[in-house]
Amino acid sequence: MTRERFIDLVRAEQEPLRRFLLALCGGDSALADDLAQDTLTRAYVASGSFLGKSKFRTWLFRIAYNRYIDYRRKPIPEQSPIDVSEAMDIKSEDASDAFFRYQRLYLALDELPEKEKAAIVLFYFEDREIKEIASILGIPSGTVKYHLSSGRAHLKKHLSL
Amino acid sequence: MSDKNIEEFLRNSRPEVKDNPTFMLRTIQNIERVEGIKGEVDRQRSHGRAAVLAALGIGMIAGLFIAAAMILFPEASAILIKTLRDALGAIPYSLKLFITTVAILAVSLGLAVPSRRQSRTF
Repeated sequence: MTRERFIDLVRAEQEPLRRFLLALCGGDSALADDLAQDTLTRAYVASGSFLGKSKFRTWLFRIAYNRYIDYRRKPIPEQSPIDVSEAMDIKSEDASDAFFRYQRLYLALDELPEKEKAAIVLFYFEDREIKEIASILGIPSGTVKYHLSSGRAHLKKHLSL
Repeated sequence: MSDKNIEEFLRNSRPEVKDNPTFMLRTIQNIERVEGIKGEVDRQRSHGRAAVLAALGIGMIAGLFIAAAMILFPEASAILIKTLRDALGAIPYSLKLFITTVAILAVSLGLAVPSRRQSRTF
């Protein structure tokens, strides 16, 4: 695959890819974009081994999901506690508004096991078919259906609407 | 909440990706970096290949010269072979000396390398 072809394909897929990672990362757009960049760099390095047996976007999302799982497995560095009074003074920006709009959903999604969360995100936010989700997550189609059903049940409980 | 409601809620909650004009720029920069690294690896590989081929050529030429010398000067080469055989035969007798020399060199290197690294750090 030539460099120009790769860039063209990425241009078409960058928005769904970033949205997928944004949902997985609980609305942290900076982290999602960093993981997306890392995914694209890895994909470019491995582009010689892409045989075209699956769609480019399926292959790209598989790399993104694996990259996200690697990130989640890393130990999280200890953070200093947030001072609530200082946090109240922070001015609202577009990004934070968007974050709060989806906060309830992100918090509920974060309670789900990783595969369940990814299946829900791919099916409902990215409109991917069961077969494609199975290929991205590396599991059988039946298991994807099971994850979707149990994910919905878990979300119902966590969202408690 | 029914399954239909939760499905509707999810479909209406698709996250919005904030416009990031620098995203593609960063991607292209990363691709250029990868290309640079690939180019460097290829260059080093071809250098290595050239070095191996040069060594092979030099070895073959040297071999040919030695073979020619042995044919043209049989007496001189007989003396040389005898000297080499004597030197190899002497190794078992001087093995203790040889091991001691290697050990002293290893210890000296072990002391010299970390002190060099330290001097680079400061």
